[in-house]
Order: sequence, then C-alpha cells, then structure tokens
Amino acid sequence: MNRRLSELLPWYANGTLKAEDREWVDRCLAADGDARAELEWYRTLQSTIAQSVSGVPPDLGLARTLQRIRAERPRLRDRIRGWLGAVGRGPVAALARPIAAIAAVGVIAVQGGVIYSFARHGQEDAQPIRALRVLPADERPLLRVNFAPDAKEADIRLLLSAVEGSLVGGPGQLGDYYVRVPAGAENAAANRLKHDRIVAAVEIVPGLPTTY
Amino acid sequence: MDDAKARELLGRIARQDETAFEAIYKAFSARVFAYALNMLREPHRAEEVLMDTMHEVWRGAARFRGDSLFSTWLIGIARNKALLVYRDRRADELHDDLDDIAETEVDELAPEGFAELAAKQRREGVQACMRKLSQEHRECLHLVFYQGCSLADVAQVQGVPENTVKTRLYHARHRIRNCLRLMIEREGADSGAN
Repeated sequence: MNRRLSELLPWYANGTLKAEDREWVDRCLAADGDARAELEWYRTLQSTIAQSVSGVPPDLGLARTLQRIRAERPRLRDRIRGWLGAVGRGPVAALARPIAAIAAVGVIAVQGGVIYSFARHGQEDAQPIRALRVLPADERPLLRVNFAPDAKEADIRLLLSAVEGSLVGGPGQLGDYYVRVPAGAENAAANRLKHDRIVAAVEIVPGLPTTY
Repeated sequence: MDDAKARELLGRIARQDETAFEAIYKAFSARVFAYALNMLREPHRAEEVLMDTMHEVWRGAARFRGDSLFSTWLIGIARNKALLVYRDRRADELHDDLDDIAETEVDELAPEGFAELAAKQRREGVQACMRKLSQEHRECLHLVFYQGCSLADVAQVQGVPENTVKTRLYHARHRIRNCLRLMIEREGADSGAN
C-alpha cells in the first residue's frame, strides 16, 4: 500500500476526507485488497471505541452544573438595584437633578406652609404629628409585585414591557417591587402578571408606601 | 446536533438562556465525557471535566469566534480541563502510559492479518491496548475515530502542525495493532496450552 493511501485511510474511515481525495481513495480501494482489509480494521476500531463509552446518560452532571451556574448568578435584588443605579448615572439622571432640586424647594415650601398654618391656628398640640411625604404629582394605584426567585432580569423587563409598566420602587425587604402602568390599566395588568410563571404575587396598592 | 444548531444555541447561551444550555449539554455531554474518560481513564474525574467544560461554555459562550466547528472548540476546552487534572495526578499514576507492551515491535502484519485482527479483536482488547498508548497517541486515535475530527481539527485541538498529527496517528495505529497482535498470540498460546 502506498504512503498516501495509508495516510488518507483513517480520514476516509471517519468521513472527513475532501471529495477529491475520497474519490482517489475509492479508486485505490477498488483495486487493492490490502487497503480494503485495513479500512475494515479501522472501521472495527471505530465501532469498538464508540462502544467503550456507550450508555452515558446525556444529563450526566447536568443538575450539578446548573446548580453551580445558579449559585454564581447575582441575586435578582442586586441586579435590579444595579439596573436602577445605572439609570441614576445616565443622562436621564443629569436631567433629573434640577427637577429634583425644584421639587425639594417645593417640599420645603409645603412644609413651611403646614407649620405656619398650625402655628396660626394654635392647633399644633391637637394634631398628631405625621411625617410629611413627597407625593408624586401623578400618584395613582401601583402594582406591588413579587417575582419568582429564579426570574431572570431579561424576562422581567419583557414582562414589564408587555404591560407598559415601569419600575418605580423596590425591591423592599420582602422583595416587593412597585410597578406603574397606564392609568386605568391596573386590573388588566395585574391579571396579566399574576398568570406569568415568573410572578409569585401581584397586588394593586394605592401608591408607594413610606417605607418598604 | 449539527454545527449551525449548536451555534444558534450558543448565541442564546450568551444571553443566559438555560434552556439552550440544557439542550447543548445533552447533545454534547457524551462526547465530552468520552474524551475526558479517554484522557483520564477515571469516570469520576471525567465527569468533573465534563461539568467544568460545560460550565466554561456557559461562562464563555460569547468568546466563541466561530472560526472552527463548535465541537472542536468544545473539545479544546475539555482538553484544557483534562490536562489540568492530568498534570495534578501523582507521577506514579502515569507510568503505565509507558508500558512496554505498546512499544514492543513485532513483524508487520501480513495483508490477511488485518482481516484476522478485525475479526478477533474485542472491545476489551481495544480498550486495554488504548490504555497502553501515550496520552498524545490515545488522544489522537480518540479524536479521529470517536469524535470524527478532521485532520485540521485534530491539529487545532492538539495544538500541533498537521504533519505531527499524521506522525502521531501512524505511530498510534502501529502500536495498537502490535498490542492487539500480541494479545491474540498470547490468547492462542493460552488456549493451546489448555
């Protein structure tokens, strides 16, 4: 058997030979009994090697690998915080800063007005002391949502997008997220969310709590 | 699973899609395990290499440049993982690679000998003779006859020129053939003595 044929036969046997070489080997095999016998030997070797590791379940080690992957994944709460944090560093934040300053001045003015009103009417001792809270101008019912522990950030974004929702608060100590949807769409959105597999619980609430 | 499908799944894995990861894991786990077992010869270590390799696929899916088959890239990762384990082993665990039986020279087989060998060799015999080969030779045979790699793929995985692969393959098949030949002769002698 010539050297070239000897070199090409293993690749012929495993099916990776280029077409022109394959044709050449085919012609040699037709005329060379030794080469056919050697090819048969390779094919037997191939099948015995394949049998030597047969019966391996395809999910061997899969559960442990997934466990490892999930353990490394940042907790959902941290990712959402990072996401919100990123928003706070972007161009939107630059625009929001003067607005926040104006709002702060407004809050001081309101607080001043309330204090002045109490002092003027002498009612400060009769009224319970309540913490004043900045109310968003368009405050309306929100959805309080708890996501499943294995919910992915991408899935959450998609789901919120599907209900035209935006995250306005959270996560709270209990993993509560507050979502604003278009006015009047709260019930439909809540219904849509509660049937999604990544949502553990959803409830319509009057607005953001003072602490959460 | 063909290469196009594997690439599509890999793109999804890069976006952290666990379903795609499970699909690719199940499609390629047997091949990775077989490769690692061939290198290390210990099922529990081979399983560790399989898991490490697939974990690396999850973490590094975006690094696949697409200039080779996915399976070649995957075996390349498995090779690095297996070599780490291999090098960590105690030196005395490696000595049987140099077992003299594979090095023993016998006369080249007569033409009809190939057919005889093909008829007589058994799975255990092939496995035993594979174990006697050096790590490079065993890996080369495995890549060609189990993984179905092309010459270029074997060269890429082993990190050597194609001519080196040809030389390794020549010596590997020569030695395994000698080993099987000796085994058959001994069996014949044993049965003759009985």
